[in-house]
Amino acid sequence: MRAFLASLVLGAAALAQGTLTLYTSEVLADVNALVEAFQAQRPGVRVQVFRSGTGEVVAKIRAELEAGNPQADLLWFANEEFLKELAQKGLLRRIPPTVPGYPVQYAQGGGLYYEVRLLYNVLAVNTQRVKTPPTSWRDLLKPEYRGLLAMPDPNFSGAALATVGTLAARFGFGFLESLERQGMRIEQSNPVLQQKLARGEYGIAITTDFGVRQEVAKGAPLAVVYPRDGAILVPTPVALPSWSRNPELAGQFLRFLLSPEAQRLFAERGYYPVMPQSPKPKGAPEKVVGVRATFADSKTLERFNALFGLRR
Amino acid sequence: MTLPRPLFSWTLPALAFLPTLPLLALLPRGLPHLLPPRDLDVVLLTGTLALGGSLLALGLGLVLAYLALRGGVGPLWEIPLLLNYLVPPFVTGMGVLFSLQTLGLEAYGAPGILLAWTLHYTPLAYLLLKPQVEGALPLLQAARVHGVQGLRRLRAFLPPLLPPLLVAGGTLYLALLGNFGVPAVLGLPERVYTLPTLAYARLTNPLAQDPLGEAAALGLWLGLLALPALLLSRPALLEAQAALPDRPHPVSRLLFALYALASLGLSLLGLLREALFNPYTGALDPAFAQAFAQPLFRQGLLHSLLLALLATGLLLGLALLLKPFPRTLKALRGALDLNYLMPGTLLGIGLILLLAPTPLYGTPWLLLLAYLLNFAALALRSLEAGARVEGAVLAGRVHGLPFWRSWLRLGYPLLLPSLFAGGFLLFPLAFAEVTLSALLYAPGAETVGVAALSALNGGLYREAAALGLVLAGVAALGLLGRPRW
Repeated sequence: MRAFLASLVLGAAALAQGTLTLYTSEVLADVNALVEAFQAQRPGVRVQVFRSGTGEVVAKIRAELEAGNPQADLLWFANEEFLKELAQKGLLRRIPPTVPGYPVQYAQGGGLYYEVRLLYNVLAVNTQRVKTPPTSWRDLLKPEYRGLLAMPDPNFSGAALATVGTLAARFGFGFLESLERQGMRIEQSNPVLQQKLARGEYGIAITTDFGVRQEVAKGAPLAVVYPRDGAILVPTPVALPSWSRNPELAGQFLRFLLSPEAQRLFAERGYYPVMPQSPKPKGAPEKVVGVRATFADSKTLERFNALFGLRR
Repeated sequence: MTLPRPLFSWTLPALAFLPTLPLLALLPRGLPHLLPPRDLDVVLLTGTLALGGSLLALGLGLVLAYLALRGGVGPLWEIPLLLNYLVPPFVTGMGVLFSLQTLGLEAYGAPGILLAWTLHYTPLAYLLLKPQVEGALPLLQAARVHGVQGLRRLRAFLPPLLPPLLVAGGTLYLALLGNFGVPAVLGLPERVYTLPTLAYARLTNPLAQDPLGEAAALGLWLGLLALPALLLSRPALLEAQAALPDRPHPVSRLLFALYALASLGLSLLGLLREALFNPYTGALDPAFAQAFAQPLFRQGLLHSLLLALLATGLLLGLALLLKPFPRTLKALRGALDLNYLMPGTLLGIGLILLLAPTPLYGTPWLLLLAYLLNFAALALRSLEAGARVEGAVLAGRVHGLPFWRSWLRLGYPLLLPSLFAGGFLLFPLAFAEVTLSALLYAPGAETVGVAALSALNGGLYREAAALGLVLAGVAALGLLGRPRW
């Protein structure tokens, strides 16, 4: 009880001293590690995290905006469209790029938001079920892979929405129809799909690279295949909203994410760091051919939902 | 002698209106989406599942209550049965999932949901019905004395039980309709939706035109489904009365124990396997340390414990205070029913819309308020449906005891079993609440439900299973402290 009351009192007091509220869709264990490292560097600073799927994070921000009391000091999720919408309304704060060596191509918002590490959608393979893995997207249509394939639900996962949009834009919607004829199944989310893939329910999955590497580290019989014709680079930038009560601290946290220590943490957890001099994740290729994702528009998503019988 | 007038009779309409404000705020958002009607299949499935689950739990609960009374089952053997209910619903769901997978059976979909609901809510039916069955047992004895044997004795036994059965059935049906955890674990991955999970999916759909409105419309459907149960809230008719002592039947006790152990095994064995063994290598590799390396899990347990204790205590206190005024109790409960029936997500969004501009927002007190609004109906209902004690109180008053003393000395002690049942119903619900906390928790004051949902969403099945087992352990500790009657 005392701890609870103390946390209430402290919560109010810390607001004045240095509390940062982060709204994110980042995997919980990963964001925890980063927050702990940041707090260790900055004693007295407290980082509070609201973590959920991108859709829910955005829904919460929308509701708070409508009520006129938004809480987040820093935003980090896989919905660039929403960030653009905020930018148009003048609700994002420009952050000066004070980290030397930051590759400009990852600051697509023109200084309004920054990538802090890279997330690719790839082909993940269960090595016990698939002996000769596919090497390109079109390989998925080979008869030998029939009935082995799955991807996450684009209605839930921002990354899967990027998969649908990118594949439809590059190969036409017919490619997705061919995948449906190949017997592709839809699972709810990337982590759930990766669990099922690791346990042999599927042979191949279109999913995030870092999550597969994390399962491999636990002993799962999985392999990551970066397609020759380009893995899908999913934008998951960090942005500073204009309503932030502690923009200074928020900016410091962003710069911390780009620091060598945080970049090393990303690599340890299976992500490609964004800064050029950082280590690569274990078992990952030195260089990856990446294609920047196109998120599916509502028309494409509706067609996809109709094709796979997804309810929305 | 005059009875005091109902409390605040003139303020009743205002009292009844206040708690429904968050939902009223959503009404104008939902109505435009009702026509043309969509999702009728989900409406039908939700109603059928909730009805089927209630009937199964009610039937099993009745049989178990009878077996327990006939077999003289003590509190020790009740523990494995009651544990099924003290474990959060989503943990039962996960347990069924992992157990059925071990057996090579498909757990996802409507049958799995029904199974998990039955396992989870049968102990609740048992608790609600046992005092009533005890009240009706003398009828069985009377029938035997008059030479009525076999199934025909049920004709003497069941009719007086029907009203309490209906009330208990109403409680169960509402609990199932509003349940989010089980269909979230066993339905969502295969896109088998019930109304609460579909509302959640709509709300979090990144491309929906008006997610709040579409979710609100589903909530209105849910309200429609709940209407029949609202009309079933008559108070029980049987008076609390001890049966004559009867020889305990060992077979009854054995059957009770068999069900209790089998149901607990089905919930827990899968969790044990998932939490203890590496799924890839099969080696012993307990996931507890990994789970509790997450600060969120530790904080979540503490915050949920405190929130649930506060909410349960406050609500049962309110129910006791109102019990002497049945009309006020019923009116307020009727108004609060809505908050319980609607998916928590709607109450959550409604509260955000109403209270976000106030300093309450972003503090744990908002979540406490949400819990109070959400669970108040259950607290009031548990005492409303309890044994009638007005006769005893009236007797006290006839003998000159003042109103409150008469309640304190005679009424409330008789209500203790109902009070315990109420606390038993409320505490686990508040402790493992997921839907409201996911939307309303103050960052830094996460609940255990939020922690578990994060783990499940993030594919941390083994950590979630470990957390589920810890929650089951906490529940078992809670049962040890259970008072005996």
